Amino acid sequence: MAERNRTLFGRLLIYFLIVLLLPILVFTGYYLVLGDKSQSRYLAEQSLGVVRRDALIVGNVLEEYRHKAYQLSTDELIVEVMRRDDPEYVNKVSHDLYPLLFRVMSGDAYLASANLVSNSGRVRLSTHAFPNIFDLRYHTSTSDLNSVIAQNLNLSQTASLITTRGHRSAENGRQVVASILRRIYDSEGKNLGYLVIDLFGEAFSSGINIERLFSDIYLIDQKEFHATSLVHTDTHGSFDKFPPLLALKGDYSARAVQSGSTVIAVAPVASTNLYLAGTLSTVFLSQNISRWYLVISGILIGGVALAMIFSFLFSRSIAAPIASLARRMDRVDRTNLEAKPIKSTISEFAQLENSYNVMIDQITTLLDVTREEQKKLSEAERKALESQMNPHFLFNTLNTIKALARINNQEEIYTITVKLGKLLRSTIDNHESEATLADSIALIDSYLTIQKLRFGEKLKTSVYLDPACEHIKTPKLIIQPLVENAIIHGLEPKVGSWFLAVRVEALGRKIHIRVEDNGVGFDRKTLPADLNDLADTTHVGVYNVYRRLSMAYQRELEFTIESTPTKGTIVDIKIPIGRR
Amino acid sequence: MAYTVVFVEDEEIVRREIVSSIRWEALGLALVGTAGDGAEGERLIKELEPDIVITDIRLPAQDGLAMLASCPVNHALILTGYTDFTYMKQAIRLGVFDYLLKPVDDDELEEALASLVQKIQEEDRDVEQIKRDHKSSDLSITLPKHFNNHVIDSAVSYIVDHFSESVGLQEAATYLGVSESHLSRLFKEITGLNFLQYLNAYRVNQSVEAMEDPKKNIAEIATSCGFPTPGYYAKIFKRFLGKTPTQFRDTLGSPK
Repeated sequence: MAERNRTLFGRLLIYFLIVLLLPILVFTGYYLVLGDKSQSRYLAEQSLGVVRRDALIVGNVLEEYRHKAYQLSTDELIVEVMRRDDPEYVNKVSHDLYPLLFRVMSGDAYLASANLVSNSGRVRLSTHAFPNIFDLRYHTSTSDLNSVIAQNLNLSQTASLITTRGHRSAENGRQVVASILRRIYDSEGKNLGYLVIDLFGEAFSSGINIERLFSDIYLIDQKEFHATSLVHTDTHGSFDKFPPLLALKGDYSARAVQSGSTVIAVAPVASTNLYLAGTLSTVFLSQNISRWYLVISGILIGGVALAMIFSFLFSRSIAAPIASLARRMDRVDRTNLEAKPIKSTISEFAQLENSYNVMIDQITTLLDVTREEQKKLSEAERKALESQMNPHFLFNTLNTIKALARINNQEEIYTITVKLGKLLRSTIDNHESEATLADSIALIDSYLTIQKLRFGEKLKTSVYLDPACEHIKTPKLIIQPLVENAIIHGLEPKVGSWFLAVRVEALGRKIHIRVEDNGVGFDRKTLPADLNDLADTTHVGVYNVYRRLSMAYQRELEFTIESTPTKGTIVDIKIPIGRR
Repeated sequence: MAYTVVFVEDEEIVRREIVSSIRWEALGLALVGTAGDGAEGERLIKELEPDIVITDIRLPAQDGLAMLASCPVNHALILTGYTDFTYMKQAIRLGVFDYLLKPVDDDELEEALASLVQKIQEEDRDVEQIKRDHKSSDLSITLPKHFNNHVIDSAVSYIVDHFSESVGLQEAATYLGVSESHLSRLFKEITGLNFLQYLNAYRVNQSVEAMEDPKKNIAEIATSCGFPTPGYYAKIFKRFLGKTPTQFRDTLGSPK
């Protein structure tokens, strides 16, 4: 049993720790177990959104330049220049021709260049330096794959070719990321030459990845299995060059894929064969998460420490007053009673301590009173013992006196000794609270025998006990004090003959006890109306009898005293026959 | 024939007074000895085997109750200054007839002795009645067992079952759920015998049976048959069968 007894403090500490640590543990657990994945998923979604938006931007850029390409390729002046195929004519109209070109190209010389070449290669126009690669005079084979124009064979008659195949460094040093090619036709539909708009990296890169989410972003030409980085625009080539792209496994539908520590999001660029893909490294993310873990661990440790501190403080604030109370009670156990000032600031505890102090005060008072009483009692006992004589000695001595009287024929001494012995037996040596009426009358008999020996012929007595009452028990010593009273106060002061009668008889359901004398009597006025007030008068002996009888019989007792001065006194007592 | 009395009292004056004041002859008694202490009392009682012992409790050498317990005493009266409860209880257990308190009223003592004499006479009549049906050659007392009275038959079977224990009229009455005085009166009326005499006669019969086992001594037999002391057993035995148990056993052993 004992080993299961934990302290209140310990128990509270555990409870508070549980309550305070639980949320921390749940929160950390969630992040430790699910944080990584949810972070990745969130990142993938984010990437996809960004890549979709960027694909739209790329699409718009391409659409814009496709439209410009269309505008230029159908412009009358340009068609005329191409049809004539004469450099002289170019010079002649140059002050119309170049403004046209620049107007259409919006002067974005750093974003794109527009290049025109006639089939013969004699007319070559460019918003920048004309790229040699487009100089058809030097094209020996249509299979020169590096030339955008070489690809036109697969192109439908009117459509624009958008390709990334022609990636190169432009003469101004910029990277040509994509090219838009259109054929120029005369009114009969004869192919006169080509228009190529070269788009520099900046045409795209300025509008995309503005959040810097992606570490790299690729423009993918699915048809050509060629990709170009829009971040590092000089990096391009087949997919092998871009390992992350392999993770897509040829599926370019809009989605985000995680491969190893890389997330790649891909989205198609509308109405082209192109796709835009953004990659980002989760290594960075992992680092981020690691840092996040660090923060969480910090919070965790801090939280646990705080929880412990608070648990300790809370527990102590509750347990300390109880413990202090318990210690004090323990001290009380070792009979050291002392009240102490109230310390706890919690009202219930303060109340408890207050009650406890009150209790201690009361106990202390009670103990003092008890000690005092005990002292008085033992004092009384000591005095009683000092005043007490061994009754056996008394009785044995009386017996010896009796024997001596008998041997010496002193009949009166013999009688008085035997009767006194009986009298003392029923008073001193009787520890019963009740006596039968026969015993009570025998006692009266002994008493009167002695008194008659003292007073001789002067005292006449009559004692009658109804045989029906012999075995009825009453409180002992109720008649004898009345008889003694009658002799001492009634008869002794009187000159002349004395008569005393005691009569006990059953009358109906009552026992009637009468003690009557023909003594001096007393004034009726000395008797109070209520017998309970006898205590304050000189009739203490009568009062004691009355009090004991009224305790025994309560309302069923009838007790009357009749006295006439010079005539005598009658005390009448009526008590019920049945058991109380 | 007068019943014999031994009186034990340590106070010489008191002893003298009782000896001279009590009208022994008139009561049908003969005072055969007096003693001043418990040891002398015991010796005297064993020597004289009185019918009645009157004794004080507080005595030199050995107290009155111990003296009674170690002697073959039939009837005893106590005269004492002590009303101690344990004394009274012990006295009742020893079958003391009355317990008178000092200072002793001589008239009361005479009354007590008179009623004791009456009781002894009744018992003697019972014994005589039993002896009438009993020849000296018989080895036991003839006791009827069935009386066609439910209460008395039950009382007899109580005796049969409990004779070996320290029981008496009081225990039997409690067991049967009747008052002592009723049982006493009814028993006498139906059986013609006093309950205690019947019980003692039954115990004597049982002791005779027990004597057949030679390994048992008289003291053991007395205890096993419910007699408080071997002395008391011897006294009772002699009254019923005319010999002491030892004498009886000798005659029993020789013819066989």
